[in-house]
Amino acid sequence: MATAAETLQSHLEFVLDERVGPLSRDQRRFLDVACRHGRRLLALVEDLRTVALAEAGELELEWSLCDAETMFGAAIEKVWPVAHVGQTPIDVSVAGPVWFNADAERLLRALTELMEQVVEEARRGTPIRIELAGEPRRVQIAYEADARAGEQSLALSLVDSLLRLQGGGLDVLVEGDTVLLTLVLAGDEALLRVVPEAA
Amino acid sequence: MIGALKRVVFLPDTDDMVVRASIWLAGALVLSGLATESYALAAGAPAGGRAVALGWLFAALGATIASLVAAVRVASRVATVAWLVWAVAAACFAVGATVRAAGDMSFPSAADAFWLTAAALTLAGLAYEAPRGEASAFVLFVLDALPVVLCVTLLSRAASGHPFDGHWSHEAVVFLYPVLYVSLALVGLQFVALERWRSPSVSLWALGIALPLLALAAVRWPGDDYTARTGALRDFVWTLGLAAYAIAGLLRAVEPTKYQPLVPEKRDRGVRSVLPVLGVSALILSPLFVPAEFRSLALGFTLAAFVAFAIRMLVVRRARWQAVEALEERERRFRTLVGNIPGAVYRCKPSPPWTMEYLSSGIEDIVGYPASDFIADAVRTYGSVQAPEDTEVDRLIQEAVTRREPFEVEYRVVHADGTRRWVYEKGQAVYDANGNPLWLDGVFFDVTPRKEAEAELERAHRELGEQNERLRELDRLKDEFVSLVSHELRTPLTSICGYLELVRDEADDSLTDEQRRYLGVVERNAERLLRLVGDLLFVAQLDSGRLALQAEPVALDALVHEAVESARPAAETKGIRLESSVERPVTVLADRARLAQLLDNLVSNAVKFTPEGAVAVSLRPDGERVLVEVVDTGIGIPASEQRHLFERFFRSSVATERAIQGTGLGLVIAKAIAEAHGGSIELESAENAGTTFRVALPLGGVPVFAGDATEEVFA
Repeated sequence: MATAAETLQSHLEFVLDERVGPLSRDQRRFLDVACRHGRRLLALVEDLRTVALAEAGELELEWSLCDAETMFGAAIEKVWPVAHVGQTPIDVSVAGPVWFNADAERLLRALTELMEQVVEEARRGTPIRIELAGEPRRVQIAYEADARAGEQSLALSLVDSLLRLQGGGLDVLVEGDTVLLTLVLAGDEALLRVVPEAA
Repeated sequence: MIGALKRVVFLPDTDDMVVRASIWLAGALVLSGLATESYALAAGAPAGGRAVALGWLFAALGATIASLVAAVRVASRVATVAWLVWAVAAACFAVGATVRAAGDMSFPSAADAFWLTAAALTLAGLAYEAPRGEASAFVLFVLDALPVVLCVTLLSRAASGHPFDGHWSHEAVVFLYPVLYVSLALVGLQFVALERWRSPSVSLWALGIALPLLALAAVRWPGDDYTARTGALRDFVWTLGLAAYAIAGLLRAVEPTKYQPLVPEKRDRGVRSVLPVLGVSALILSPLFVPAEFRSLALGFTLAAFVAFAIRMLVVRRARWQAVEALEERERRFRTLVGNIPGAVYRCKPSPPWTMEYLSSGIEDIVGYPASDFIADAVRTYGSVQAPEDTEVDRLIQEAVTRREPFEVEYRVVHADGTRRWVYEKGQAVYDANGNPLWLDGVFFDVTPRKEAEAELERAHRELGEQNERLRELDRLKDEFVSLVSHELRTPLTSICGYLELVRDEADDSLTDEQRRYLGVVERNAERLLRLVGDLLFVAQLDSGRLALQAEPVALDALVHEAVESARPAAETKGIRLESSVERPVTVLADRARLAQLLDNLVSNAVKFTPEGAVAVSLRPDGERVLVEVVDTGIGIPASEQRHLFERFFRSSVATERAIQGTGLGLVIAKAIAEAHGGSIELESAENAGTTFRVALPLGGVPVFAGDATEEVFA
């Protein structure tokens, strides 16, 4: 699947870069959209691969000390334009510094996809509340949504798989219209003890 | 008795002719003796002593032969010896009688010698027979009888009227007669006191001894004028006794089992206790009744009696000591045996708190307390170690006792270390004559390991059930996930395909060949991904039982044609001949899209795995079925891999070696579609010789699946 997706994407980009001939304005517009979908397809395949490897216990993580506030800030920044258009404010409250160990790159991508899903599901005009707690290290995301929100998705599976590999996990609670996602962050205690100096 | 005689007369179980003849001879002799004595008695003994002696002779000879026959017939070696001795004794009686009848009336005479010998042998036979296994009992009997024997001997001698002249032969005979007679009488008394008296043969035997003794006593009694030699009643009695003796020997009932040791029985012990008291008392008083010349003898006999009594005390003491020792040995053996039982043996009162009378040491392994703690509730009751939560145990046991049935219960006890142990108890009540329960006898076994194993097994079962439930849940989640992923993948793919179509429509003429080739690659990969996603989704639906067929009339010949035409470009590219043949058009009720998928998979596979040659697709009805065959001349499938061919994601080694693309899902899907239509798929293949896939679909009706529901819609 990855091979096919990569071949597809590389050939698309080759044509879009006009290496094999010029394109008209419409051709470029159409191929530009197709290329975005190709990237999306590649990301999906990569996510699938990550989940499959994580489930099989064969995923090798690149550990580093992460700051939850910074990581969520980056993810929120990527989805903020969409949230803004949808008039969905994102309120973040931080009880204190939340340090944990994670594969920062993979987790950030997973959190970004999760936030995209949250923004997509959140009811227009209602806020998304994100609370970062230091002890225990966890993040709660609460929002109001229409029916079928909070159901299983690739983003949820990806975040859950990565957090579980890191000793944490993801819990989804749907009560009426309210969806509550609880992300339990964890890490190597030995590494975390050096956090004050590192900070 | 009559029955026993009948058995003797008819000899039902004797095959030996010598024995049969001997029995008849013995019977004839005995009857002759009785007849002769009867004649002598009735006729007043006209023939004098000869008739009497002849009667004795006949009877004694009969008894002799009968004893010999008994010795031959009886299997037991001991009994055989006894009966042989008694046969000699009977012969001695006969010889003595003959001597006396011949006219030897002297005293002592040869007849006395034979008679005394006969009495001694009879006693010897008994002595040989009686003490088997009970030597001390026999010695005791002799010691008990001795005072009586001495007393009677003294009195007999004193009453005989003969002066005490000190002549040894005379005195020997005078003394031996009472000694032997009284001893035999006491043996007879012993027999009377025993249960075996009920045996016909023993009864006759005892009678056979008692009657001659009475007769001889009469002969020796003062005032009896034996010299008159008339046909006296005593002679008839004597003869009758010998006849009884003979019949006893001839009875079939004379068997080894009838000669058990003289076990002291209650009545036996009673008789014995009387004997020495009577004998010693009589001896102490005897000086008052005997003439002065016999008083010193009386004193000597009294002393002898006391000595016998002292010896008796020693024997009894030794016997008791031996009995105690034997009892202790039995107790030790019992404790050793019980101690080796993997559990505990008990006897307790038949109601809570189950006061223990006996409890073996094994209980300590079960409850952690020594058995002595529980005996007579010394430290604690057994009820106190029973776990309070098992409340039904006492009731169950008491109900079993009431119903007079054995019981088996399992319950927990509280070990000394505070842990709970499982006990299996099996027991039964012992009742008195009135039916009241006296005790409970039973055993305890520690069954904790078994109970723990059972609990472990139950837990494992439960966990397995929970695990199955989790697996089912995971399976459901997996299906949901696959559906979700398929959807997420299809969205961009569909979009890409759509925009590619737009690019082509928009600028069909403006694209360069290079651009067209590149976009062709994009399109083929997009279609490939779509097919892959479709296959994954199909398998997921299959797993979750959600494969739904949309039934409609389908012209199979058209479907075959479409499948062949779809694969034709690929076939032509490889230079493969692709042919189709339809015997006659067939329409079935089926899901058109699924059947098309099935045929596409088979035909495209055939083309893919055929480097050169041909692929032929045929359609023909076959009875109630329609067969679609896809035959190729391709690389074939190794026999060892054919059974795995319909397993998901399986790829043949040849396909892998030759880098032929595929997911290993096509045949899985084909098989599932065929079976969902009530059909089947099979293959024939040989390596490098091509492959034939044969799909059979029912003509009559196709089950239509909608979710889990199945409905027959076409008949």
